[in-house]
Amino acid sequence: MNTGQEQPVVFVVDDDVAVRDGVSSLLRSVGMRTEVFASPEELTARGTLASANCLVLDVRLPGISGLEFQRELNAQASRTPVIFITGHGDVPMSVRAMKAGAVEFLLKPFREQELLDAVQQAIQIDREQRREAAGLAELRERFALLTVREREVMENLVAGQLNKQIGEAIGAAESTIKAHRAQLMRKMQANSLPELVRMADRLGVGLPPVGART
Amino acid sequence: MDMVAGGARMLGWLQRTRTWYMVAVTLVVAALALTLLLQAVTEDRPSLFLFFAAIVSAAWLGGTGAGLVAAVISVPAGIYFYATSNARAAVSVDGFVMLVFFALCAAVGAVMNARRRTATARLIGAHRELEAKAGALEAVNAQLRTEIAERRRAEQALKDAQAELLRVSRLTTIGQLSASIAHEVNQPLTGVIANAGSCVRWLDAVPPDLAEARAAARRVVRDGERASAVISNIRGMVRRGMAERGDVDIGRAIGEALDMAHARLAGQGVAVTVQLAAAPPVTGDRIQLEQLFLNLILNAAEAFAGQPAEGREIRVTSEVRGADLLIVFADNGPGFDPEVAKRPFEAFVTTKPDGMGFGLPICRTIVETHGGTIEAESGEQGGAVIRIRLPLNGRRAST
Repeated sequence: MNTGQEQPVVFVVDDDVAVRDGVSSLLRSVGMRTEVFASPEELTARGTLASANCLVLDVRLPGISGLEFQRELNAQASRTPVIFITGHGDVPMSVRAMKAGAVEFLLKPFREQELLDAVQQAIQIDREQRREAAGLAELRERFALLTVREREVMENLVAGQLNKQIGEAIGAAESTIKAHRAQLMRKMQANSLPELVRMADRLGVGLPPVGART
Repeated sequence: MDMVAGGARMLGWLQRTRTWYMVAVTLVVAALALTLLLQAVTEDRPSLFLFFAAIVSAAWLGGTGAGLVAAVISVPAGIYFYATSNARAAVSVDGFVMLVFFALCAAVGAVMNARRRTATARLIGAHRELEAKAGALEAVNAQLRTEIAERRRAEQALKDAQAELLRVSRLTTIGQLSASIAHEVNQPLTGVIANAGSCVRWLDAVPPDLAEARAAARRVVRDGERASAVISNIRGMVRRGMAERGDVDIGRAIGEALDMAHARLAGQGVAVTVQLAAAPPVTGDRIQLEQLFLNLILNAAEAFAGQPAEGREIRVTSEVRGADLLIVFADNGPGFDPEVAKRPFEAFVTTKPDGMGFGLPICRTIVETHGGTIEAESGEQGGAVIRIRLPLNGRRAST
C-alpha cells in the first residue's frame, strides 16, 4: 500500500505478545513501520511518541491503564492519534475513550481490515495535524520578521481600519502607512487583505484592535 | 401494760364499729316505734316481724356485732310487748318459747347474714383480682404472639436473602467465568486473525516476503494452540467438578435453575411452561446440571433481545425414553441462524452481538461428562430447540 513519501510509524502498546506480534506484522505487511511496547511505562522509557503517526493502545494493561495513559498524553498536549483495542469493552468505556479524542475503539478480536482502516484514518489525521502545525510554524517565522511598527499596522489592518485611520491612530502620514502595509504584506506572503486576516487569525494576532486610540 | 394496750385496742375497735351499732340501735328503735304504731291502729297482738327485719338489716349492713346488738336490745322489747298485751294474752309458756325462738333465730340470722356478706365481698375482691390478672396475662400473650410473628418474618427474610445471595453468586460466577474465558481466548484469537491476515499480505507482496509470511504463519499456530489450551483447561475444570456425584432429581434441578433465572426472565417478560415426566434420578453433579439448565434458559432469554416483547415463551418438557431421560428446551425466539445451526456447540460460534459463543460448548461438556448427548435445531415454528438425553440411574456415565 502506497502511504506517500514516508513510511508511517505506528506504536503498539499491549501486554499480550500474541496481540503485539499480530498487530505489528499486519501493519508492517502494509508498509508501515512499527514499534511495540508491553506497557505505557516501557513506551515512555524507550520510545518518542512524537515520532509516531499513530498509537494502538490496549485498554487493560498492567500498571497504568490505556485510558489513564490517554489522559496523560492529552495533558501533555500530545497530538498523536490513538486507537483503542480491548478484550472486554463496554459502552461507557468506549464513550470515555472517544470523548477523550480516540480515533477508534476496537473490540478484540477485530477483523484485520477494521484495524487497518482505523490506522489509515489515524495516519491521515496525523498528517493533517502535522501539515497544519508546519504551516503555523512557518507563519510564525514570517511574523517574526515584521518590525514593531509593521506589526502595529497589521493589527489595525486586520481590525478593519483604513490607511488614513491607522495613520491618525498611530501618528503617521497615510503614505508611510501605505509603505508599511506593502512591506508587511510582502513579508507575510499575503496576496490580499482577506488572506492576511486569515493568517492573523491563525496566529492569534490583532483581536481586539490594539491601535493607539486613546 | 397489757391491760392498757388491750383497752386501747378495745377503744379502737369500738370506734370503728360504733357507727354500725348506732345504726343497729336506730333500726331497733324504729322497729319498736312502728310496732307500737301498728298496735295502736289494729289493736291486735303485737307482731315481732319488724324486729326481725331490724336485726337482719343490722347484720347485713354492720356485720355480726351489729346484728347481735340489735337482737339483744330487741329481746326486752319483745318481752315488753308480751307483757303489756291485753289480759286475754297473758304471758304463757307458749309465748315464752316463741320469744326464745325469736331471739335464737334473730341471732343465727344475723350471724349467717354477716358471714354471707363477708363471703360475697371476698368473692367480689377475688373476682376483681382474677380479672386483673387475666388482663395482664392477655397482654403478655399478645406481646408474645407479636414477637413470634416478627421472628418468623425475620427468619423468612433471612431465608429469602440467602436464596437471593446464592442465586446472584451463581449468576456472577457464570458471568465472570464467561468474561474471563472470553478475555483468555480473545487475546490469542486477535493474534491469529492479525497474523493470518498479514501472512496473506506478505505472500501477496511483489516479490512475496516468504520469511515474514513463514513467521506470521508460525505465530498463527502458536496463538491457535494457546486458544485451544484455554478451552481444554475449561473442560478439565468442568470435569474436575464431577467429584461430587450423587442422585440428582432433574425436576428439582430445573426448578432451581428457573428460580435463579427468575429475575432475568421476569424482566424480559418471558413466560416459562414446565411439563416434566416423573422419572428416577440421574447420577451426576447437581451443581453442574443446574448450571447446564441455567445456561440454556439464559441463552434462550438472551436470544429474545431484539424480538417483540409479547408472547416470549420457553417450554421445558421431559419424558422417559428407554433408559434415558429426554429433556427438551424450546423457545419461540429467533432460532439459530444457518451458520450457527451447522455447529452450535463449537466455541466462538454465536449469533449474539456481544456473545462469546461459550454457552453451548460448556453445555455440551457438561452433558457429555454425564454420559449424555445434546442436540440443537431450529423448531418447526421457528425458535430454538435443545434436546438433552441423560442416562437414568443404572447406567454409568463415561468419563
